[in-house]
Amino acid sequence: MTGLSEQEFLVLNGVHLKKMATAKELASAVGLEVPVVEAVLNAAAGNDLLMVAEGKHLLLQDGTNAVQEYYRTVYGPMRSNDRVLEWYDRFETINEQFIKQVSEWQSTDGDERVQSRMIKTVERLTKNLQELTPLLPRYEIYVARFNASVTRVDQGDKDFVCKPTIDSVHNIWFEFHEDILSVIGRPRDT
Amino acid sequence: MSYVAEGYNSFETKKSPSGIVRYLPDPKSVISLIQSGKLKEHILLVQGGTTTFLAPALSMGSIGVITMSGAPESHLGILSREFQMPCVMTAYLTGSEARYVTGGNNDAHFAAIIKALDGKKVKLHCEDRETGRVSLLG
Repeated sequence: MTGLSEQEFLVLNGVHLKKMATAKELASAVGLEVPVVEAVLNAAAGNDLLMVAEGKHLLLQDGTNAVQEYYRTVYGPMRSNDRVLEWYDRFETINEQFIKQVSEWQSTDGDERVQSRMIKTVERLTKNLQELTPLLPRYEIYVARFNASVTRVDQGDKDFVCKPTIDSVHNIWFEFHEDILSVIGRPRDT
Repeated sequence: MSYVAEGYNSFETKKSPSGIVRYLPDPKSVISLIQSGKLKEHILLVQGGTTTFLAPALSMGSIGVITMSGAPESHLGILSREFQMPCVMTAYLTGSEARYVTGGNNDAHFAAIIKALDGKKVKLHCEDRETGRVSLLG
């Protein structure tokens, strides 16, 4: 059995994926109320699962171990589920396109045509994600976050493409990629 | 000027940070460096271009990064441009014929770079469009 409850996992996994985040940022990313998130973070800090630097939370090794143990225990069956593994293989292709498009967007100072192609790639992912949500209901929050950020980009707020300090499309993608890799138990390039 | 290492340049910049190279093999080493309060004294040396555990160091204001694999079109490349933090990627030693091989065994190559750079005071030169360079100081 894993040591974390589902709620503890959601919060600490949020820290794991964001690497460094405030309680408010985490609450928004995982769909929980701020006081609930703060209670989990305070308890985790007391158990040396995380540290706080400039108001932001970072997992310590024991915290990372607890999160990975939850993934292994709860998502173990996904690691041999052909439907999930095939989905991931398709994602790899989309991921390569997305990374190239974001890089091109940066190098062209936010060219509108490049941005349009990149947004289409994000929409392709959010559509594909709906194939996974029956198995992984918590992935609904990624769809909601992508939609919210794409709306901001469409409204002309280009920071929501890839600014690292807000819930930009690239940040959400980065977190999702880390999440699905942990679900299927594949290491990322170090 | 002679350069000890060079690689892909993540983006053109006149920023030319200098500091002691610190090899960061894992998340624990990143947290330890942040806790030391000396993050900004170091140029960070890491293995990969998608080194997600480096994200806290980038957020806390790291001054420069050298990677031993990975391309400017990677998560780390994207973040370095957003943070405007100079980043030399897939660096190799100019005095060696060894180069990173995708999918190959690069252990000896990585070890040689770590041996040559870790603990040394260096300066990054990222004004060229394609190539980022590393010079030794002192």
